Amino acid sequence: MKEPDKLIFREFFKTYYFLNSKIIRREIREIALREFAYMDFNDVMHRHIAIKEEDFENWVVEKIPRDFYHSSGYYLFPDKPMDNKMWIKGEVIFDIDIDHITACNPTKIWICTNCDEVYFNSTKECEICHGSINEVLILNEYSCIKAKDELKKLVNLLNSDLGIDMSKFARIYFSGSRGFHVHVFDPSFMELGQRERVEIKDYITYEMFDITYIRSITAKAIVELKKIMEKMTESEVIDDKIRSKIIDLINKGKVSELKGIFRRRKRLREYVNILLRQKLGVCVDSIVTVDLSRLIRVPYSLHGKTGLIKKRIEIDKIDEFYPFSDAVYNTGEKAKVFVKYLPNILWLDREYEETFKSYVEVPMSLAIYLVGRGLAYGIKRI
Amino acid sequence: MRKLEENINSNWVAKYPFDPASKQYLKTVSLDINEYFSEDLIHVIDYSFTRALSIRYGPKYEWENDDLEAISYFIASLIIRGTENRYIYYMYADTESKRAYKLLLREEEDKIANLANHLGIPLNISYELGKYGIPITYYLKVASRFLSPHWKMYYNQVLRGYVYIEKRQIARIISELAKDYIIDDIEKITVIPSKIKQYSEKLLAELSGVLRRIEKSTDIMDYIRTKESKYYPPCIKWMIRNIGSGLPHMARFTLVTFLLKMGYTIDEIVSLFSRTPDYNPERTRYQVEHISGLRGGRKVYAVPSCRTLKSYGLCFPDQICIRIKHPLQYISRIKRIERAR
Repeated sequence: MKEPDKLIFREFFKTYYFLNSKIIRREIREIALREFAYMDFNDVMHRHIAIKEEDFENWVVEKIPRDFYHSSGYYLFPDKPMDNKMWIKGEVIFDIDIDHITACNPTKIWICTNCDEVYFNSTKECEICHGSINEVLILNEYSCIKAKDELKKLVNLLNSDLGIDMSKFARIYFSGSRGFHVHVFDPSFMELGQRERVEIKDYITYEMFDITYIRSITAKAIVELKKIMEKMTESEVIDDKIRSKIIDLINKGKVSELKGIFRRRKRLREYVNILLRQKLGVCVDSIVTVDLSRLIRVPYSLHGKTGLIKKRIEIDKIDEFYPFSDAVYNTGEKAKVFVKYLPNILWLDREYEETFKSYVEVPMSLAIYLVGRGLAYGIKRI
Repeated sequence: MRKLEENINSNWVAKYPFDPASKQYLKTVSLDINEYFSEDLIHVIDYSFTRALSIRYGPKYEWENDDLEAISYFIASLIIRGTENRYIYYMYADTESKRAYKLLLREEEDKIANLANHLGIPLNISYELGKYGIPITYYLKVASRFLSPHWKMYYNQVLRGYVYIEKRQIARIISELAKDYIIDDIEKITVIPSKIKQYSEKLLAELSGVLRRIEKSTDIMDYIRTKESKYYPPCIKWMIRNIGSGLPHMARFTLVTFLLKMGYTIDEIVSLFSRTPDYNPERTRYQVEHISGLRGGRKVYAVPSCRTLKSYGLCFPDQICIRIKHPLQYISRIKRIERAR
């Protein structure tokens, strides 16, 4: 990022934190027990910071973090090196990112870092000037809907299966970039260690699920398997005789015989396993959930590459949530900026048309977003 | 004194002496420890010694006298404590836990629920399904120790914060949890009468062969820990750390293949495994030799991939793991990072 743009970025973040540090403080539980970390505007990461609750607002306004993180864990000594922090307990975090959801299909473009030429297909170097290429992923409406579907699936699993009271012990946030975070602080889950969290993660993702290990006829996978079998037509992997036998065994509750069928048919087993994993599992970033000392973006902080807010979403408002209007910090200012590529985008209820290599007038928040994403440069206030 | 629960009788205490509720009952029937050394009662001490020795010969599931059986648990615990050897504590807890498991399989639903309740697990029995509902967090605390893929939550019904499991599974969970109570019972003992101490010495002598093997394995463990293990992936480190508390089959297999690759000899690996509570020297040697290709199909087994380990719940990734697909890659990667630094 060029220096003048960096200054405007810093200014944008500074006013935001000046006006919103109180909201951020209120959103974090047990500030004194958390490790904080931040990236400054010189791209230097500062870690192992402890902040007292009463100093929090002043600290944020003074430091102006470009990216601001806190630990999911609560520590006795949050400012000591990792081995001496003394972990007490930790929130269970789930991270849904469109990068991980295969069905999401976000807009991907490739821009030459030298001549700003835009490519819509993957390329290793610029065809015009042979400059190096920067790949940019843009959240589009379709991928946003898909990510929200995953989020709803996750919320449902956490609530109806794991029994977490979502209104009391969980919060849902837009991540500020390309996904969602769910923070769970149900007291009985917070004490779980890494081993137990691996199990929770496996349950959520259905990773490595294999029908031949099923134990209970009332397991969700069997209910789903029955539905799949009822809908399936005769194909290479299954004939009608086996299909009706499977349904019959499910109805009679005969687990061992059911497992036997799949044990003997490798292709059918693989096919069903993949279907069940897709149907029942949620795409979450495994490491985030399993790591006890994970740093996660602070709620209501700004994302350093988008200028968007890590905004809380009410459980019943997931469908309506649209990041480019609901998570935007709108300063009311306008800006002129040179865009290499502006995708067709609905920003703060106004639609902007696809534009290549030209100056555009946009809200300051959109200018920040485009520059942060590497799609534009040269912001000027107007 | 707290009122005794109605279902706590001598038979219950004989079966589940580690149940905190059993202790109340026992206080009312037991004598001062020194009285058992009288001529009339010395057989109680001998009976208890045999119980302590079940570490070697396996537990008993039948007995004639409930009171004697119950008291023998506590005297055996004293003898075990007198050895002052933590490894013996674990072996004893393991043997007693196996005994509890078998007894639980014969028990009725409400009795199982009672015991679970006394051990702090609020069970929710679904009579309609004939299943035991255990709160997820309780389930995970115990089941995550087992690691066999069968224990993954998604193979059972999970509903509103409970995992619904069969009798065999709940018996396994309760008996595993019982180990913690048994170890606690042993460690809480502070004073050991000198006459009991003599029996502890006798027990140590009986177990000397086992203990020598452990000593040897401790040397190897120390060597692995100090010399090499900083380069080992977190999954292997975890296995080495937990070898004393009993590893699932897949973890043992992985550890053997990995250590063979690292150049450890079969003898060294076999003696390392002598720390596991259910150690059987012949079987271990046979299996290690089999894996190394010396026996059976003469196939040298490879170290399982990260994907396989993940499916067995044996993966505890750190930042370096993100970029690798096989545990052996971890070593070259971490060495490369170190060189770069």
